[in-house]
Amino acid sequence: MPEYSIFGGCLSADMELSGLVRTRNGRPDWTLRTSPAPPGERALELLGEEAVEPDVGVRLYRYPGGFRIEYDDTGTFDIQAGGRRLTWSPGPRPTPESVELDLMGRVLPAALHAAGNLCLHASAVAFGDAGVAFAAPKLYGKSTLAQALVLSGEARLASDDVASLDLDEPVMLRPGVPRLRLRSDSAGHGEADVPTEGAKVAIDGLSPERILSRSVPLAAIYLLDPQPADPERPAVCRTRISGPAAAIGLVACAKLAHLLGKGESGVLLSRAARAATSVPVYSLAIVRDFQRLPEVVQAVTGWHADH
Amino acid sequence: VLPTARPEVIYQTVEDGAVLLDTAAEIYFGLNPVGAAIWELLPPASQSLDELCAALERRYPDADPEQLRRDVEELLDDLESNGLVSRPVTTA
Repeated sequence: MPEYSIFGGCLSADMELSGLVRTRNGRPDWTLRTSPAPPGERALELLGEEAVEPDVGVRLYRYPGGFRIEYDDTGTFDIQAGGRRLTWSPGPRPTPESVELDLMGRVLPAALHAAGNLCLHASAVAFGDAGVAFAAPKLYGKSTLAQALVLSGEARLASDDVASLDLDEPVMLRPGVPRLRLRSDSAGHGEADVPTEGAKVAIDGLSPERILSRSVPLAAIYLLDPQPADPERPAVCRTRISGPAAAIGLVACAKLAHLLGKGESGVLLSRAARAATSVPVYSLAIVRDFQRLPEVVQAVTGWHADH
Repeated sequence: VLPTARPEVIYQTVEDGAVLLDTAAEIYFGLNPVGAAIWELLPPASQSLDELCAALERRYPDADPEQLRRDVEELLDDLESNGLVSRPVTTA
């Protein structure tokens, strides 16, 4: 079966995943199998649900021995064995692209959660051996900032959408999916030649030296706070936050924040508290002005690059 | 009568305080170090407001006792209005 490199580990899958890099590992961290049968009966506890598209919802359940993610279109993913074993039961409208997006967007983050990680909705880069995460909801500009830092040559891309943290001492940032997904108006501000149709475009083909390939200690987490464009305002300003505000801020930026509710919300809070205790958390006010992006890159690089 | 923590509320200590999570309503509530100390002194640790305040004064000997008592009463009102604590129903 094909093996793929993702989140600093190896996924063995019985399907083609065109957006991932093939590897030859032989000792996969995760295995994904397609089941010809409907998902098995379980004592399910609903943890949360959200809309993926206007007509497509997703629900996360837990049961003794595992978690289940159920999409209206692509089907059901059972996550067992501490997140290592994934079983997909196809739904009514699966396409290869949507299955892959679901796998990377929620299923693998849920598997990482099952293994004890904290997954943030964040872009992340590495300056040398120092990981830096930029956490924010959609459309806050985290991919644009990561792109600018990577294309400046000062940082390597760790992940575009999911920053997965191993809560060891020190807290480690895992590599994610080495692909940037940008709004089309942001994509044109890099040097990469990208298509500009649709709300988001993917930038593949970053050279290997621009991609983080192994886990690094996490030096900082920034919670993005976009500001209106204003020439009188600094392009970027960071403010350290700590204690309850930092922990609650990380919970709000958890990748599966809307799905990990009810009985699992305490687990999420506990992990956010551990991360906030071990890693500096900042609020990062950034003006929404592409022309001033170089100032932001210079400031962030100055804080983290080891010159 | 002191209110008691509702059973569905999780108390998570963090650096410089604590976070309360109401798992039913999914409400997060931050506490500073004094607030965290007050939460830890709710029943069964204390049985009355006087007992709680006395214990708090021992933890913060330099603080004005009257101010501490006002802080306690204010926080308990906040906690109650956010549904994080409940007072026992008394019968005549």
